[in-house]
Amino acid sequence: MPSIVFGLLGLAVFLNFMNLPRSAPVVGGMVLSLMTLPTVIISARAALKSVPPSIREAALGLGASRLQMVAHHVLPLAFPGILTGTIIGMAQALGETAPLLMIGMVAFIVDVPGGFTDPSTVMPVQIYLWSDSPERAFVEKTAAATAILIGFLVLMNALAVVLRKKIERKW
Amino acid sequence: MQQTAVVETGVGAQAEPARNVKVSAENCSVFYGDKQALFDVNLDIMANEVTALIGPSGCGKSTFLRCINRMNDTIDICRVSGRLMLENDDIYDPALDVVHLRARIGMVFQKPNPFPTSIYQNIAYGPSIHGLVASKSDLDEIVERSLRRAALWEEVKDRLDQPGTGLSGGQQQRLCIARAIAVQPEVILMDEPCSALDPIATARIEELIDELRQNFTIVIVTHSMQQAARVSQRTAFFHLGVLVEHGETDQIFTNPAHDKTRDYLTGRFG
Repeated sequence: MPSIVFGLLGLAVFLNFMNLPRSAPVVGGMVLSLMTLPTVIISARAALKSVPPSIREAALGLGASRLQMVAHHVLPLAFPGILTGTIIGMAQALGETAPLLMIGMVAFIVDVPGGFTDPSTVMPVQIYLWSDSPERAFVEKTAAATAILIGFLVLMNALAVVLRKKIERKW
Repeated sequence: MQQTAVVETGVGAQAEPARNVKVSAENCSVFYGDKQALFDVNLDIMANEVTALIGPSGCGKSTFLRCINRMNDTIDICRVSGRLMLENDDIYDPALDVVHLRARIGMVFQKPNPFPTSIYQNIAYGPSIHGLVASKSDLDEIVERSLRRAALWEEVKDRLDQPGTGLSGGQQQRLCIARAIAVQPEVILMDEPCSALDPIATARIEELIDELRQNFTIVIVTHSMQQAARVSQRTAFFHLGVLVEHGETDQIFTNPAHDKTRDYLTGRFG
C-alpha cells in the first residue's frame, strides 16, 4: 500500500478526530507504526508457522500446557524470524517521508523539541528540505545528514544480524 | 470390567487370568468433522504388557492411540465419543486436567523430535515443568536414570550439554523415550517409533521396549507385523476404523479368529 495513504489516515484520525498536535513526534510514531505493522505481522506469522509441528507435539506430549508450549518452545524458535521482520519494518520506517508530510512534520523548526508533543521534524524530511536549498552550506549539511541516516540503518541491521546469530538454535 | 476379546464376532472371549487393566476403551468412536474414523472400539490394555496395534494405513490405529492421551484435542474438528478409562479415571472427563493426564501417559512419536536444546535439557524439561524435582542434584539423577533406562547413557554421558538434534536417528529416538520416561508416566504410547530407523537401531529400541515393560504399560502402533510379533504380548488388529480382533499375540499370529486378520497377516492385503 502506498505510504501516503497512512499519512492521510494519520491526518484524518490522529489530527482531525483525536485533535493531537500537528508536527508532533508522537503522531509521527503512531503513523509509522501503523505503516510497518503489516510487515512485522506477516514475518512474525511466518516465523511462528515455521516452527515444526513435531516440536509442539513433543511439548504437549510431555504434559506442557499450551502456554508453556508457546513460551518455552515455539517463541524461542520463532524469535529470530520475528526479530528480522521487526528490523526490516524499522528500517522501512527510518527512511519514510511521505506519510510524515501529511501530518505536518515538514515545518521549519527553530528550537530543539522538548517532548513528544513539541513540533519537530524528521531526518528524511530535513534532508529533502536541505537538498532543495541553493545556499552553499546546505550541500555539506545534506551530505552529513544522509551519512548519519545510512549509518543508523547499517547499525540497526548489524545489530539484528548479531542478535539473530546469537539466539538462533540449529536443528 | 468386561473382557471382550473379539468385538465384531464375539468369538474367543475366554476367561482371562486376573490381571490389571490399565486403560480400557468402551464404545470409543472418533469423528473428524462428519467423517467417522473409529467405530465403537472396545479394548482393554493390561498393565505391564506391550500391546501392539496393527492394521493397514488409515485404519484408525494411530487415531486410537492419540485418543488415549488426548493428543486429538489439538485437532479442532476431532470429536470423541464413548468412554476411555485410565484405571478409575475417565480420560475425557471435562474436570480432568489434561496436563496431569499427559504426565501419566507419555508419548513417543513416529519421527524422533528432540527439542533443539541440549541432551540434558531435553530430559530435564518434563520433570521441571511438572515440579518433580527440588534441587539440581535430583535433576541430575533423573537425567542419568532416564538415559540409563533408555540405554543411551554410555553413549552420551560425556556430551550432555550438546544439542540433542546432533545425535543419530536411533539415538534421537532413544532420547525421546528417555524424555518420556523422565516424567515417570504409567503408560507409554509409541506411534511407529521405529519407522524412521535402520534395522540395528530398531533392534535396540525393541530390546528397550521389552525392558521397559517391567515398569510401564506400553502401547505401540506398528506397520511391521514382525515387530508386533517380536515385542508385544497382546495384539489388536484394526481395519477401516473397526477393531476387528484382539487377543494374545501368539494366538492372533498363529490362529486368528477372523478372516480379515488372517488375510492381512499373510500379506493378502494392506
